[in-house]
Amino acid sequence: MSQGVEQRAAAISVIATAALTAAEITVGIFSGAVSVVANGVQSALDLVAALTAWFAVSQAAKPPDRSHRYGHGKVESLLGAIQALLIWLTVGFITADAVQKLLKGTTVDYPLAAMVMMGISVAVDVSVARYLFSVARKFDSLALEADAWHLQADALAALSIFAGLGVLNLTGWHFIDPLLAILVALLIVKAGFDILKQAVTHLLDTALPEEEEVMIDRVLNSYAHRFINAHRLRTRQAGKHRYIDLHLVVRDDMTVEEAHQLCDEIEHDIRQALPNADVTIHVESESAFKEQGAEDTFEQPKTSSGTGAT
Amino acid sequence: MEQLKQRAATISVMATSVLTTFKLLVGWWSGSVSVISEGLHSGTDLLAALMAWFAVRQSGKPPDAEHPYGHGKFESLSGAVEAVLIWLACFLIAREAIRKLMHGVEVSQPVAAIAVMALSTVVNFVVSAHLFAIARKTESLALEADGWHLRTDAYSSSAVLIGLGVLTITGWHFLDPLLALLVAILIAKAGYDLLTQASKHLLDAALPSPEESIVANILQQHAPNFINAHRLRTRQAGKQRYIDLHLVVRDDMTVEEAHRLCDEIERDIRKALPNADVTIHVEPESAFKSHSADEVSQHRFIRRPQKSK
Repeated sequence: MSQGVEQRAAAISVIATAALTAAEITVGIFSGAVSVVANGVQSALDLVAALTAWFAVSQAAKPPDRSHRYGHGKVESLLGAIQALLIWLTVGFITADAVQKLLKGTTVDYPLAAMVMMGISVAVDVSVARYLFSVARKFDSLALEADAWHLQADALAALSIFAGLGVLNLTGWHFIDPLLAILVALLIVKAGFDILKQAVTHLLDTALPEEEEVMIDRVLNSYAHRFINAHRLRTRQAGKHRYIDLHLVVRDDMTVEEAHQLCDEIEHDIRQALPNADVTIHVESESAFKEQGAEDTFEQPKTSSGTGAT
Repeated sequence: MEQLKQRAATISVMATSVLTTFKLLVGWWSGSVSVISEGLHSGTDLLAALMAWFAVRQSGKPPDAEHPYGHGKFESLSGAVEAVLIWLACFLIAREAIRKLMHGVEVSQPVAAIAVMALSTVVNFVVSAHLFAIARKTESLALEADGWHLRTDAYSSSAVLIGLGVLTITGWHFLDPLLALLVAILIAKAGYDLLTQASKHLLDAALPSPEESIVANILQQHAPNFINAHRLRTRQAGKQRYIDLHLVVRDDMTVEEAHRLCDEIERDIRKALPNADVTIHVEPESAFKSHSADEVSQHRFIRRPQKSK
């Protein structure tokens, strides 16, 4: 059920941003207002975010398969990286155009049409964002919430362009248009950088943020009386999936059943604290840990991987 | 091993910076635009070589708090970017070739151009051969990608050389651009292969079937000691292979016994597959039986050893 509502919300946001992107770029080019074109590109960035959110929501159910046994979360990361690069390319063109207009002092042919377009943008952005916020709150969906924030920010940018074009209409200061465009371009570059950074972080198997690792530590601490040592915690993220594995040292004479019960409880608690966590616990016996414990800890590489050379 | 990789990467950086400087100097001295543009091209090679150098250095680092699974993915990402750069080079070569086919070739300084091309061919060929050799030995995707990038230049320079030679002897203008087009197509294929390989690693694709069969065979050998093995998951980052699986054993087995069994299996897998990082999660029979149904639907039991009944 929730899957359906979430998917529909994500789909609505995709359609709305796609329509806005197309309309803004068309009206911007036709009316000669480069700031409206720039806003169209910003909408394209929202479209990316919306598509990513849609992908995250709709592919969440897709199980790992034979060729991707850890699931498909990384596709999201790779798509995000590629799209951020494409959008930067577009921003480059817009900025070049704006600078040229600034230098040549060209005028906006149809400022009223451009204003109307921005008015529509504000209305659409605000209403879709409100809808997404309500669905996101109901289903606790981070992807949809992030998407809603994107639209909210975009509505603000559209509003300021609307105001700028209003001033242009009253005063005839046409240089306002390319200036606004450059301002928006700067915003887009920043947003693209954030997307790229997160994507690369996931692609490189960077550890989870510290506050999340602290949460894992806290769960482990609450079970500390039942095991001897926990080490070699490794974490990484792909899309919304978090992968966590660690070694747990227990008494030699504990049965596998008891140990597994403990693992299950820990895994359960971690999953409760961190959504979409995939936890793999490797149980070690005390005697084995004492023999080889030192070489197996966090800071040092796993020397057992064969190559003696460093 | 690491030193070998880093040395190869350093050689590539040095060779490309020498070529870049040399071409720009000769271009400036002889006033040949084509040689200067060759120099600029080498400049992009230099950037690519620097990226490979950085990736190799990063990937050699041991796992740390920020990258607990190690730095193998730096090589994969570098390989992907390099593949895109190789495609860009192909596109530029093809565009130049088509322009030449349509407008004819003009060589302003044939002697300088031939000298630069000859040097560039030899250097790029030798350095790329070295990169390939080290890449094969160390399973380094970043070095292999860098090797392909330099090989691209070696081929395109030699195509220009042959074209120029034939031009002076026979006056056939069309041969040079045709050869260049051929080179572009050849290299585009290499770029595609690299990108597939790199994105497989980046997307956590499973190890190739033959390697997974090796893991399955090892599990078979240990089958008398456990009840079931399932949820085998594999992926690769750079030269590092990651393998994890669930092993079902008797309820009353002690942790010590189970761990010894795991250690033996892990050791055998590592012996068969270099740089394998194996994580085994042990389950008791009772828990396995109670939740096996949804586990099957969720993870599609893969390659379970048949003997274990």
